[in-house]
Amino acid sequence: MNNEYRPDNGKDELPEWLVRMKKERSGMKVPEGYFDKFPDELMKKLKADKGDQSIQDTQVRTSNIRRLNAWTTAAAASILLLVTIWNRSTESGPQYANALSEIPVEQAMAYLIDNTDAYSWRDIVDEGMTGEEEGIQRLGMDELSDEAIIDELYEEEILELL
Amino acid sequence: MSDDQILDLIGHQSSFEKGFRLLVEKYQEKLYWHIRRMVIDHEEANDVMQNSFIKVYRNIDRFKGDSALYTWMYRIATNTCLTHLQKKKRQNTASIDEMDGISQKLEADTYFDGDKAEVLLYEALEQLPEKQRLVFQMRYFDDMSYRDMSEVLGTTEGGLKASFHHAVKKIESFVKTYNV
Repeated sequence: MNNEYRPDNGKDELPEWLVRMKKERSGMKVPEGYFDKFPDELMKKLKADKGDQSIQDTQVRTSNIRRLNAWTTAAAASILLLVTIWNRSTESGPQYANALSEIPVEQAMAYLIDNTDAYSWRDIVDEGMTGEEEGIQRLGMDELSDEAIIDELYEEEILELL
Repeated sequence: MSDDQILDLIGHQSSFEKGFRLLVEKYQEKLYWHIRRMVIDHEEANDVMQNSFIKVYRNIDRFKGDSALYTWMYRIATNTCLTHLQKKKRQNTASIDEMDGISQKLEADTYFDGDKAEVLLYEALEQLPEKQRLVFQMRYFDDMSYRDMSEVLGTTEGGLKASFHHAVKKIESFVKTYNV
């Protein structure tokens, strides 16, 4: 068998049976009216997908804002804690500062957060605020730029208040 | 309606859907048969065609007119088809369906009533390397020019002609061996 390619100048060299088969046979069928119905079905699917996509987009936006609120609350609480400790220690002397320093940070944070009514500690933990890489990735926080977080903090009037 | 007219409709938000629908109506049959001959089963072909048109819908704004609209869509359909087949191959590797031959698949397909010779041809196609099979099908069944095929597959016309030639020889050889 000669497998060398020879240019065909636009005409393919086909064995007779292949030429005949192309003309005579086509065993593949489609359901009746398939091509009449297909555009309608596709357009319906596209509309449904479009709806789902906009719902998904809204969910992502809402979720990002919620995550941002959690970050905002935690950041505000941390800053507030530091300011409080600093104020108390300067006002009440080293003895008070020493007493404050004995309070675990988690306990102090829990106290502050419980009293802000903005977000529960459980919500924050659930939202992955532990700072673990996995949690941050799960939350999609790595998608938020520093500028976006700062903008959001200003929007919440937190940075301005501080 | 010409491709330019359809693209013009698609280019305006108010007539986008109308334009896209015309695009589907114009090319659905060509794309369907291309896909169907690759995946064989009608239901699978329907899914792959839907996915192909969804990709066209989502990316039509990126079509720059460097190639013909038809070859651009054909390329999307081909890629969707190949991805589908590869995915299926991976799934079948660990399943009982692995050994399901093309003839069983055709016999099980409600929408196939070809004879033994046609089944044999599809069996021969199944033996070809993926690219040779694509080239053969595009040329033999779809009468596509080598120039268009070159745009779709990103291969030189000379390479495609050689692939087609080798595919024909292999099919001939397969049929001679198994046509008892």
